[in-house]
Amino acid sequence: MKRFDVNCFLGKWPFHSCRFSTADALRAAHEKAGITGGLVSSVDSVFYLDPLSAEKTLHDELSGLNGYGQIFSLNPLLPAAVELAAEALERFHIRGIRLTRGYHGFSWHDPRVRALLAFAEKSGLAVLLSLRLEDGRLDYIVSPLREDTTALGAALGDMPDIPVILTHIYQEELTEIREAMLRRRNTYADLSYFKSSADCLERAADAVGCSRLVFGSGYPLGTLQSAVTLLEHAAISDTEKNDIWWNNAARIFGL
Amino acid sequence: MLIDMHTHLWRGQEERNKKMFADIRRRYSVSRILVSSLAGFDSDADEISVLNDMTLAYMREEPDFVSGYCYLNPRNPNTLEELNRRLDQGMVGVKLWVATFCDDALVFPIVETCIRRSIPILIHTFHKSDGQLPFESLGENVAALARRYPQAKLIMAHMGANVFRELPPIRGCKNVWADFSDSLAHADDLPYALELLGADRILFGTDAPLVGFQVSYGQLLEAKLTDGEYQAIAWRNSQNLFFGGCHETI
Repeated sequence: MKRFDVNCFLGKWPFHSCRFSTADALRAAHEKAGITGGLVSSVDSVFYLDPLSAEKTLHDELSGLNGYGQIFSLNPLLPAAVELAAEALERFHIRGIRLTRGYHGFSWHDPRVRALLAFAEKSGLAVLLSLRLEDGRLDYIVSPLREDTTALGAALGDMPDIPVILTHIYQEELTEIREAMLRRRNTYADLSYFKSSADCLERAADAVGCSRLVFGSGYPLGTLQSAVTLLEHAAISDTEKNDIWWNNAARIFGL
Repeated sequence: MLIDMHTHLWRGQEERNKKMFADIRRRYSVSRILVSSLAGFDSDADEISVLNDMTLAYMREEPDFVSGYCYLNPRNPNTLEELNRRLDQGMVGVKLWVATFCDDALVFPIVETCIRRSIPILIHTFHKSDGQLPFESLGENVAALARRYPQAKLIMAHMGANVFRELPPIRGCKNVWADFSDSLAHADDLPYALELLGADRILFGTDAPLVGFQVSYGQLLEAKLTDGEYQAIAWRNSQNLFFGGCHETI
């Protein structure tokens, strides 16, 4: 069975060293874990005012890797964000848009956010909502906004019919927004921040079902092998593991 | 072999915790865990005694799997008596949490006893950008204690949580080891610690049940270690530190 990582990064993290941030390092780490492809975001795009320049760099780095696609990290409040997304789709064939509200601080009701989500729907793009990129206790210089699960649940209910993947979400947060997730037919969560217990994957599966979980590591900010070993050792069936490793992502992204 | 040298029982949850450790032992083939029992931040002498009794009972239930730390509140007047009693009962380390900073003068008699009895001290050390607990030690506190007592065997727990901030202060303190148990982990932590400290000063610990075992275990698997480095971190350093003397062997 194939393995796919929907949530990984290339680029320079601004706040400390991140030595595994090259395409070669990503591929090597994935190969060691039996992962044959993934969806990669640029860390730089989160922070740049001209994210397309970072997306161009990411696109060039990924061009030598088979099995990898690009997720555009975009601040919806940037001028002409929809046009930026359209250009990224045309030039880089992006598979989705990553929103990091913690750093960009937008309101879900902002018309610019609504316009970007409408563009995603029209273009068949998934949206990755990253609740954080690092643990908030590590913040240095910048303190990102912390997501409120009640507000997030309400926002999910108000979104167009697009695939939404909640990344960097704690299993406890997942349980809190379970009902909002299940009300939408295509909301998913990744494993990158399932850290609270050895059985937190089973708890997440009990809450929302394995059909709502996808493998995402957050690597190289997150530890790839922590997510890998969590899934490999989980007390769920092989069929359910295969859904999380590959089938659910294949259904979302048409792999 | 795998020794998890940083785990806990929580008062009121101990049976659930033990079930979880049995599950971890089965899932991950853990050879041994080192346990301290905790409750409030500032436990009085009676509570300390209850907590250490919990640890002792678990050690006796699972002698092939469980070793214990003596948890101490340096503010309690009977601390040295409690320490010596628990070491005589077979505990192999001391656990200090947040009752005092670790370089408070109240801690000195504990350290001096541990030096005499060749006992390592596990010191909770945790930097948080959103606010410290009162008396929560940082790397600089551990370094100060290490410089005062170069013969002491000190372990900076969690690598101080933020490795880039807390490891540099203890870099030159050769009598300080560090474990990488915590939930803040990312891919760079262990490689960074290897550069600063070397494999011989790093210990495998998870902070279970507060943190999932897979977090630290994944870091261990991911780090590009030689076989010798892996063995050192996974179990050999802990075996030497805790069981190298006359107390117990794996």
